Amino acid sequence: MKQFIQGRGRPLSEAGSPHTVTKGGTTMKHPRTNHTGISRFGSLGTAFIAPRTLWKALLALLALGLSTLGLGPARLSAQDFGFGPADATEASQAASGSAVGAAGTGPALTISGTATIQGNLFVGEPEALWDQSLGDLVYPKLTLEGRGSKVETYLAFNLRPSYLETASSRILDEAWVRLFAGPLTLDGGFMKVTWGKADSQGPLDVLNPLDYTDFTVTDSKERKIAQPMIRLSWNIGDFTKLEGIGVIGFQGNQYDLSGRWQPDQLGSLVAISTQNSQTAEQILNILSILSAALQADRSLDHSQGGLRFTTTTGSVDWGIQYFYGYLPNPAAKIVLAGTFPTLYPVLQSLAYNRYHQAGLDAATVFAGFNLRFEGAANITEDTSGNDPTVYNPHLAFSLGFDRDVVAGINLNVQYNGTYRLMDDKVGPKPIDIEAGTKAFTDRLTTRLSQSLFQDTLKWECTILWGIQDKDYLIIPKISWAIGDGEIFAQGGIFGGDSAGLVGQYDKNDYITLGMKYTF
Amino acid sequence: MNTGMLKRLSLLGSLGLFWAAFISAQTSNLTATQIIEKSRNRIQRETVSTRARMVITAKDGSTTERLVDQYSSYTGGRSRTVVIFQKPASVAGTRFLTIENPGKEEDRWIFLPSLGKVRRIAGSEGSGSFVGTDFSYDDISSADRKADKDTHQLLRQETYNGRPCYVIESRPIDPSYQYAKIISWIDTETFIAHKMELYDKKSDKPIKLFEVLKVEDKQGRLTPVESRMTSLQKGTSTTIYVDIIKYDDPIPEGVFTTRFLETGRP
Repeated sequence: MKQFIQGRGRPLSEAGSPHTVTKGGTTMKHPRTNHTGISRFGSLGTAFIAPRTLWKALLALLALGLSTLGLGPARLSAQDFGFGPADATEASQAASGSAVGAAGTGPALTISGTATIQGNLFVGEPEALWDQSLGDLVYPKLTLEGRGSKVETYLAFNLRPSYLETASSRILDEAWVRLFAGPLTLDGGFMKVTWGKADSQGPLDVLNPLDYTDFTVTDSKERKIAQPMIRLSWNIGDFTKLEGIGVIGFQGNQYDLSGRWQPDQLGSLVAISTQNSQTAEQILNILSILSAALQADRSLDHSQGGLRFTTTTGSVDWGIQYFYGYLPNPAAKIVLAGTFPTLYPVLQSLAYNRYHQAGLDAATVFAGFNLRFEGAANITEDTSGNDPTVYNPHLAFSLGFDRDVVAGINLNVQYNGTYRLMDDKVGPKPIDIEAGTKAFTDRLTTRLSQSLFQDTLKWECTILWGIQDKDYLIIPKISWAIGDGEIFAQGGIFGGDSAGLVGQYDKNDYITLGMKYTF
Repeated sequence: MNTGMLKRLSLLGSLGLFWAAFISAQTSNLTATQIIEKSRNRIQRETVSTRARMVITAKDGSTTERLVDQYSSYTGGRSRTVVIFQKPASVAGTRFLTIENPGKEEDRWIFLPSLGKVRRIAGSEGSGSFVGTDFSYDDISSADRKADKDTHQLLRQETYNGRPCYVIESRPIDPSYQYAKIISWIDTETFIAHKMELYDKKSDKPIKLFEVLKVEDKQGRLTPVESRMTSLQKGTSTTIYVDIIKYDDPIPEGVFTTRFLETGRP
């Protein structure tokens, strides 16, 4: 994991009163925090002006989409092409016309979702299972999709009861409207967008921050936090597309500030900052800085954007992209306080570094192997490499393949790495927090999976191996499908160097048991 | 859903066609190879659009269902196919595109809603199960299997389900093929393959049985609308019901693009 240093990027918070955060010259009350201690973004009722405006804009967008659709609760069902929704088979059979517009001209509304009940049993803490609130055990999700002739909308709600209590903004998992106009597609709203060819967390997938507050969540899309975006896509031919995206404001990756999934780096910052603090007010102020760093800032001057071009040449899919935004992990500015010779480090502020990314990716098939590649140059503002408060520019890559090997067992391998440029310019500890970290870090992710008994029994085993960090995470999973229901068990075994990205959670080995209904 | 299984979907639509022979019989003096070729190449069409239910029956009699739409185009000297999963809910919205490249490997892409993007994929093992059914990938792709990949022998003529049939034994030239041999009962008049026995390579005994259960006239073409594959040793079976089939229906060119996979819009 990258350590945090402070840079010339967006100043998220400075030392102030314990429960105020200064943004753009305006002092605001601190947004409420959830049970993990991490503030959530954009809660209605906070003093954020931008999120409120965004909500209005979003609602207006949705209203536009819904009114275009003319949505009523049970109206079925049209799209520009196809037999229509599954339940429309009878109607489609009766239709004698083409599959083009076979289901008529009215709008289509689809309701779907999942209801999951699960418990996490942490090894050595069997009582933790029974200590969980209902909110931790139940994970309902509801999705509404409306499709009209030239428009569609998608609303996904994560109705986890604990969100209702502490993180209402996370209830809205995704919400967007998409308009089709010839070769152009315009969509906007709270979206999760994937860029790049890698199967998970490739270096080009930069548009959504990730939620690291719970490592028992392993689904990459589930970990993404939807962001307010507007995207315009121009389909140039059948297999070529140019898309431009604007992300309104910025939100960094989310971390647990106080619980079992608190990263060591955050813990170290707290330790550095509190060990010499004299008063409770000072300590609270530091925690306020950390918490505020995880807030979303939706002001337009902190917006991000990018362009991506994708096409197919022969049997190779490839793309190039440019992105201007913020690195997703905050940087800490640490200064020495006190008087010589009793100087001590103090966390002064946290900020996210602006950076430019130029990237390319490619995917093809060779000898039965699905091959994927991503490469990116991430250029921060520390182009000389000697600013202790800004991440150095770095290169990032991902190489991957998958293949059915034997008896239907699929092998999926992904190798990710980053290489820090101008490593010799990294300054001393603790001022330059990049000090003491490796210039080159890499990680190998291997997954084996197989489906048996007419696809009812599935197993998979994922192994994350931090080659430089010398740590690992093993995630075995097995599931048994019963109709649209499923019973599953998953484990997480952390190990290796305790300073590594996953090795630090060595005491958090867990078993998850649950069942899910998909409708 | 396991992407490996989804890779095998590209030839789903051809499945029904493969088992459906309807060309009028010109039976005299036909060799076994010619009979096989007539059975496999009998349907002339530019496009086929289908909605099919696959009911999978487990050994204990319990059933699960898949609902799949498929749109195929055979214009321009190549086949292009889009498959869309409608049911079960866990895989609804999954779309799969295959484009045949004469003389080269097929291009295949898949869109998984859970992944949120289109992904290029390779073919799959021929003997693997086809989306959890009793059909293997080889079974599905046998619709396009060239007759010269096997040696064929006319064993006899006999009546099957009241229909006069050729009984033909086909042995693969490639020893790595999934089966030791296939014995087919091909209608002498319609060239429909009413029944096929598929033999295990190790035991040389039948391990699967394919049967056409119902044939209907669709747009002047005799089309099997109900067929079943039984795994004899496992005691399981898969029945395919063709709910909708439309020949030569116009399919927009935009359907056979990665854009369609992403958006569901041509």
